[in-house]
Amino acid sequence: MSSNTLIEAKNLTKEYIRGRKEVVVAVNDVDLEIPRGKLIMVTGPSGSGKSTLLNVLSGLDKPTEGKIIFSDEDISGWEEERLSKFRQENIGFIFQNWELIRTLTALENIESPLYPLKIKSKEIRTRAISLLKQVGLWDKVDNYPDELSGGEQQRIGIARALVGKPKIIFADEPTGNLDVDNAGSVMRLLKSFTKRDTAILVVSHNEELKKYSDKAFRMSNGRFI
Amino acid sequence: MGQLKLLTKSIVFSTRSRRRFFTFVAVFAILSGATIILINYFDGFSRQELLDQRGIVLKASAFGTPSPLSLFEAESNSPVGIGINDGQTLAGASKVIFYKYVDFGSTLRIFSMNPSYPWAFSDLKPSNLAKGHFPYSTHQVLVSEDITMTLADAEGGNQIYTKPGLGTLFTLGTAITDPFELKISGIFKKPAVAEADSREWIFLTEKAFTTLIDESHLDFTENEIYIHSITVIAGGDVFLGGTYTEVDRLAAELRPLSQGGSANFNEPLFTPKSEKNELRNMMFLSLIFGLFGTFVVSTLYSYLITRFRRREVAVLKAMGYSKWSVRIVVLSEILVVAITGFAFGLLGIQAFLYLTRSSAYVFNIVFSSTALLSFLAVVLSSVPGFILITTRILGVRPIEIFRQK
Repeated sequence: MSSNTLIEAKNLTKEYIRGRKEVVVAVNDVDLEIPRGKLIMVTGPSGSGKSTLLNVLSGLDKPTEGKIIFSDEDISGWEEERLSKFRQENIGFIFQNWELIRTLTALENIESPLYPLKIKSKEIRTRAISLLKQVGLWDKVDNYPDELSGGEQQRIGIARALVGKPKIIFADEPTGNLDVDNAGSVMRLLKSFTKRDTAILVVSHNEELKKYSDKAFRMSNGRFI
Repeated sequence: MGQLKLLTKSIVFSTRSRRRFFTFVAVFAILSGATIILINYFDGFSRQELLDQRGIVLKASAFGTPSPLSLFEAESNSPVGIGINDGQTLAGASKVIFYKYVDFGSTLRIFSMNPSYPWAFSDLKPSNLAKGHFPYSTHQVLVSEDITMTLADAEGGNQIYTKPGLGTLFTLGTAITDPFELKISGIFKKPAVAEADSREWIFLTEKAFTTLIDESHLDFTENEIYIHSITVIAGGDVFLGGTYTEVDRLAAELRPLSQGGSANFNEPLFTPKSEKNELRNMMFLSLIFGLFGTFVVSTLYSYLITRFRRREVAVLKAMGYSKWSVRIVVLSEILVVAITGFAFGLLGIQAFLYLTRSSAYVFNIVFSSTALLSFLAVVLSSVPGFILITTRILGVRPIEIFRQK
C-alpha cells in the first residue's frame, strides 16, 4: 500500500443468495487501490458487480471475504454504528437517482449531512453556500428538488457529498439519468474536486466517461478485466 | 449540540409535507379530544367517588352570636370592602334572618345578602347558582350526614330539631343557635333545579373550589378545603330584587315544621353503588379504548412515516447518520404531529365549552390537570408504536433499500 493510497481492497469477494439457493458471486477476488486526489472509474455492464464493489468499499455492505484497508485499519468487520461514524467522517455519496430529500430546499439538502455533527449552524451555512456557488446553483438556493432539473439535482447531490469534507466520494452511476451535456458537466465538476486531494470512485456503465478519470477499470462477472 | 440542532431542524422540516401533516394532525386532534373528554369524565367520577367515600369533616370551633346577624355584621365580614362604617346599621337589617354567622377563623366569610353590594366572586353568587349557572350546573355541594341542629326561628323563637340523612338536600329555614358539625359528603350530580326550589349551598373559597372542581385532587387533605360561607336559603330570587319578600315567604312555609311537622327533605341523590361501579367500569373501558385508539393511530402513523421516508432514512444512514440521529428525525415528525393534533383537540374542546357555556364561567380545560393527564396519556400511548416501528426501519440496511428501485 503506497503512502498515497487512501483505501485499498484486498482479495475482496462478495457473495449473496439469489432466490432460495443460488449463490451469486457479485465481486470475485478483486484488488483495488484508490489514491488520494484521483478520480478512479469502474465501468461495466449491468450486473457486472461494479455497484456491489462500491457498496462494499464504502461500508454500506459487508464483504464475504477479503479486506478493506482504510488508514491502516481493516474496516470490513466493523459494526454498523462504527461504520456509520466512519462514513460520516470520511465518505461522501452520490447516487444515481440523486436521492435528495424532497421536503428540504437545495441549501438544506446540502447542509443535511452536517446537522448531527457538532458544527455551528453558521459554519454549516457558510460551507453549504460556498458549495452551492461552486456547483453553479446559487440562484436555486431556496428551490425544492422537484423544482430542479435532473442535472441541477445531481449538482446538489454532489455538493451534499462534499459538504462534510470527505476524504473519498463514492458515486454510483452519477450520470445515469442525465443527458450527454449534463453528464459531461457533472463529470467535469467531479474531476475539479480531486484538486482538493479528494479521491473519487465513480462506477458507471457509460464507457464514454472514462476520459474524465485518472484511471479506469472495466468489470465483468465480478472481476476486473 | 449536534442532536439538538438536528431535532430543531427536523421539527421544522417535518411540517413541510403539508397534506400528510394536516391529515394526521386532524386525526390526532379528534383522538386527543376524545381522550381528553374520557379522562375528564373519568377523573371527575373518581373525584366524586373519593369525596363520597372519605368525606371531609369541618368542625366549627368558634361561633359568633347565636342571634341573627345584622346586615352590618354580615357585611363587615364580607371578603370585599363594601363601604359600611363601623356602627352603622342598615335598613332592613331586622329582616335578615336567614343566614348564620359561623366563624371558622380567617377562612370563613359571610357573603353579601344585599343585592346592592358586590359578591366576592361573581360566578359564585347564588343568583347564578339558582339559575343553574354553576360551572358545573349539575353539581351541588351538600351538607349532610348526622347533622344535629338546633334551628331557631328568630322571629318566633320556635325550635326545629332535625337530623337529615346522608346525602339529602335539606332546607335550613332559620338561624342556627348551637354548635354543630358539618360534613361535606361529596359533590353530587343534580338535575337542573327550578328557580323556586329552595336549597342549601355551601360556598368554598375560590382556591378550594378550583381544587374541587377543576383540578384532580386525589391526594388532597381536609386542610385544603374551607367553607367560605353558608347561605341558609338560596333559591328563586332570594338574593335578587325581592329578597325580603321571598325570605318572608320561605319563613312562612317553614314555620309549620316547628309545630311538629317533619321536614320535607328531597330524595337522596346518591347513585346506588352498583350503578356507580357499572358507570365506573364503563368509563374505564372507554378510557382504555381511547388510549388504545391513540396507540393504534400513532403506530399506524409511525409506520406510514417510516414507509414514506424509507429511502430518506436509507440516504441518511448512508451519509453516516447514527441510529439515534435517524430516530430523532422520525421522532420529531411524530412529536410535532401528536402535539399539534393534541393542541387542536384541546382548543376545540375549549371552544366547545365556551360556545355552550351557561354562565360567565367557562372551565379552563387548557390549563387543567385533565389536559396534562390526557397529554401524558397520548404521548405514552404513542411511545410503544414509535419504538416498534422505528426499530424495524432502523434495522434495515441502506443497501437493501437502494436495491429496491
